[in-house]
Amino acid sequence: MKFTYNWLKQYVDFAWSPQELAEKLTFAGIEVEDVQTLGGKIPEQVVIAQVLSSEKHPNADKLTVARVNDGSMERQIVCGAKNYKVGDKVPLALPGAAMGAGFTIKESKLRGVMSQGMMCSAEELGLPKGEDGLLILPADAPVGKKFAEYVGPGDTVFDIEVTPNRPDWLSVIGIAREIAALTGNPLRLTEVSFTESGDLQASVRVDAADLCPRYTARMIRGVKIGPSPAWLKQALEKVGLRSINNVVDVTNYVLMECGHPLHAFDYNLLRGHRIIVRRAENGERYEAIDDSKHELTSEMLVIADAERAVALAGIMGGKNSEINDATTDVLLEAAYFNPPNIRRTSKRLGLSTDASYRFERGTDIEGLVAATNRAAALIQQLAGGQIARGMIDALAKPVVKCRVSCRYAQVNRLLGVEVPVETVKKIFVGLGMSVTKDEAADCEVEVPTFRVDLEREADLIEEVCRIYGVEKISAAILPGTAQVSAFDAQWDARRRVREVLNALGFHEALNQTMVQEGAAKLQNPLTSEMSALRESLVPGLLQNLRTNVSRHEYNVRLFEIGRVFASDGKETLKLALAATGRRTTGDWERTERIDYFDLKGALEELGVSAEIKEIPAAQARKMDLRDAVYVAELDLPTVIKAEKQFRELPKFPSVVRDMAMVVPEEVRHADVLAAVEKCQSKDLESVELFDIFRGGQIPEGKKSLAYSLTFRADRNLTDAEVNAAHEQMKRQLQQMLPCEIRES
Amino acid sequence: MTDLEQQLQSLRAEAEAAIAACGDAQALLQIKSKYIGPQGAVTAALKQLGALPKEDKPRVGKLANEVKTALAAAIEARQADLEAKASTSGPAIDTTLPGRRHRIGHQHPLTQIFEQTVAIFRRMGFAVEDGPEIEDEWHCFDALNTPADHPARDIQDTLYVDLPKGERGRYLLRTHTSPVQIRTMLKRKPPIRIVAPGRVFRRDNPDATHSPTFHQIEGLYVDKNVTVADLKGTVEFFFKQLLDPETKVRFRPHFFPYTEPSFEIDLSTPHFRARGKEWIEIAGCGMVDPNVFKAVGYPDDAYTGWAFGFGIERLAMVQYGITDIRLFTENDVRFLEQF
Repeated sequence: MKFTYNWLKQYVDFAWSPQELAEKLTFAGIEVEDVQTLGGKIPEQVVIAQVLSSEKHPNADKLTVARVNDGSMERQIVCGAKNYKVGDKVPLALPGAAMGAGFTIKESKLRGVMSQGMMCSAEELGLPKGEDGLLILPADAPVGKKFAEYVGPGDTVFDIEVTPNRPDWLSVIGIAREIAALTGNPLRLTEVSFTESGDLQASVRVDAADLCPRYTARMIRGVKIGPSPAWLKQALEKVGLRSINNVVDVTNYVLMECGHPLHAFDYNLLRGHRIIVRRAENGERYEAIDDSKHELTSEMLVIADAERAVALAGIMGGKNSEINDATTDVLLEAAYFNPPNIRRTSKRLGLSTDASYRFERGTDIEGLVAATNRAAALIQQLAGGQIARGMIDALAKPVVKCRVSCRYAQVNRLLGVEVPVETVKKIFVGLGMSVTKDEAADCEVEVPTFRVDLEREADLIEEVCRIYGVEKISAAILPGTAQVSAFDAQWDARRRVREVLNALGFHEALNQTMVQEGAAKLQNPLTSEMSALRESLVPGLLQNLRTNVSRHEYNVRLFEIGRVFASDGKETLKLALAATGRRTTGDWERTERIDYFDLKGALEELGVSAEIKEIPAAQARKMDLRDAVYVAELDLPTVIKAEKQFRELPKFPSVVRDMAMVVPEEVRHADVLAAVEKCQSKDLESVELFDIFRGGQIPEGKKSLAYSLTFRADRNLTDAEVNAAHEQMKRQLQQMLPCEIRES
Repeated sequence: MTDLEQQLQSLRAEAEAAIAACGDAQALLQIKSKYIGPQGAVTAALKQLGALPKEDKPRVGKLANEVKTALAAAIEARQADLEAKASTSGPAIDTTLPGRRHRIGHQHPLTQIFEQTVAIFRRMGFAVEDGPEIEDEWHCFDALNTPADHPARDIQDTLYVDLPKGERGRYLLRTHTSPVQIRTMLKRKPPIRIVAPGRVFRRDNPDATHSPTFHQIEGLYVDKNVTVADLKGTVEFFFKQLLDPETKVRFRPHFFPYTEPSFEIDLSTPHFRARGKEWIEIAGCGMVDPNVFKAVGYPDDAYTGWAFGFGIERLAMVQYGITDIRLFTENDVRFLEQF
């Protein structure tokens, strides 16, 4: 929401500069998104001029040559804008005017034609941007007058972000009230007075009081629709609203001033001169002021006349009853609508307006009377006419103000600071509450109707904290105590997995959860590429490999720990690894390419096993991956390695014998180990493969496996004993395996 | 001078010449064996000592030992020379070549912030808690004082999972880690001190500053008399530990449905200030709303508590000067290696 510094000052006094105000608002909980200075720096030499004639520039298609009267003489101006016509009044910068950034107007030739000044756009003068091109001034603007005097002093526009709990801040008076509470200065509301004449003939019937607890109407007859005066136009333009006509502009002005949305109907377009507040019919068609067409449902609330809907309640008026140039009689609506209902309708139809934004957050059911009176008076002032006697007020049940108790001990218990009782009460009163019970230990306050967020003690304590100032609460260090949860162990296990994989050169990756294809789908995806939940971590990692390789990082080892999802929504925490390229990166020696056993080794370090896949070459090529790619995916290991148990270090030395055997390719390492196991050689401590060799003297279809056998016993083994055991094993293995032992 | 003495002198001269002329270790070994080995000439000469007259024995014996010792020393020195020469023959090693590195992998920068955060909170006695990424509406919103028509639900544009509606509403991808608060409070009674790190989701199109998947961590402390002062103390301690002891922390009143009062937290660190940013908005926090305690069945007025949370990506971006959030999920190794 936008408001201006000068506008705010009409309602409350404060001694802060615009920057200080922004700071104060920020610490009251109003987020100031932007502060913009407008005008105030318009040079003396800018005057109001009138266009006398306009011709095409002889040497440039996009330029025109105008003759203007600046109040004292006639001048020739070359102009690039197209939005002006003869007779228009515009701001004219005369030679000598410093337009900022070192740019000073002087007489000069533009494409061969003399130009004696510059006609200005709003932006060039630091004013809020209206339509494109020159700033066209109202017809009554006095020619020759200094423009700075005409527009008045500069101003500052604040753009604020209001949290959903504080709809009362969505108006200039709402902000002023906050400043009054902060400073202790009184709030100064505009006195509204007008005389009423003639009877109010319209009738109002509310058929849906649950959705519309209050509906009021006033009538102003005999108005003359026309443009708004400059002050009103400027006030609206400064806060980003467009001027439409005097009556509509008044409703918008009062909306910004009081925060209460109003709607003006052309009374003569209301059939039967009646208002019926009812639920829409299913399928009822409705055309809004902005020309959008909608099909309504019976959950939506409309304002209707005797025959048809004339407004979508609280959201947007209808095309069929809007104020137009021929309007003479105005029916002014001010109502309170059920916030959730407005919100649902607004969302369903995709129609959000300044009005719906406020109604769905909750408006002031009592304050709407003041708003409608203010608007009626202003309409009469600007458009003439007579305000009919009285106001129709369909109020379902009397407004009951909320009363809330606050225990002073609880204030201190929650805030951790002793706030004096008198200070607490003063804060409440400053915010517009009245104390209805005043005890030693607690008080009860009545909450004004504009504060829809104050319902409980906790809400009041928040107000104390806000106004007292959170910066006055000193930080306390927590007293010691320790907690554990079952998840702590899992968190630590995850870290150990990361540490092992990092040590092995695997970087940790994190990928998106939403993917194109997966068993679990989203109901409301943003795009088809993110319409499902991942069921594997591998595709993401492959994509990462591709990204790296496309950037000429060919040696990549990644892992990811993350959740995958089944079609029933079941979540499983997985670990996946992917690797491609050379084994050692950043090495100046030629190193081997990563293969199956690199991943297998990594899994062995983790003490787990899983299927390791090589991505088929054709698939890898499609992803522009030129080296072999290996991946593995498994449930995240929860425990790494078995529990630790110390074993005595061996007291006697080991004796090692090598054994090389030539076996057919089909014989696997595991078969050899099984056979060695069966030998039951009693002092054999370990068997380790140290070489695989093919080719040379080894026949085609066979390979040589070389093992080193380590023998150890609880005494010194003699060479003779070990040799005997070694020989026996050779014989046994030759019986069990189709192997030929090579003598070393 | 006896013959033997003359013989020893000439053997010495002969051997010394041979040692000096010797070019390889193998030949040197032969020289060693020829003169001072068990069968060597000097050794043989020593054996003749017994035949000498008594008065010559000490003198000649001394000489013989001197010769043997001198030759042994000369051979050893020559051997060292030859070895030194052997090791420097061939091309000299280029010691400016880069070291042979077994490059270690790196933890993802977001994981690093998670880990550091958890470690600091553990020092204050907090446990780590976890919850599902697919949540139901009750845990994600209703229990957190955000009923169906609450305008605050608009702030969090939610992704719903295509599953049949459960007992506690539709299933959705959690929009914040706060449902873990609810799950923890349902599971046990105060005192509760937990941190919940995790992945959260919003219905945002990915661009430089938005990611539909991102990460948060939040803390929850509930006990009999937990205050705003405790909250301030913890948050200040945490950020000073995580970022810089000179970090300044500022609380600004704000609104969250599940806390009352609520605050936003701005930080100012020397690092941020050096980059021309005085205050950076980093985190949200507040005192647990009574309706949240009601939702988990705690008796009225029995407890107070605070909750505090922040987005990991945002902190990483302001801390490291990262300007594109998409870098976190591209997993370019040149990015990952920087952390």
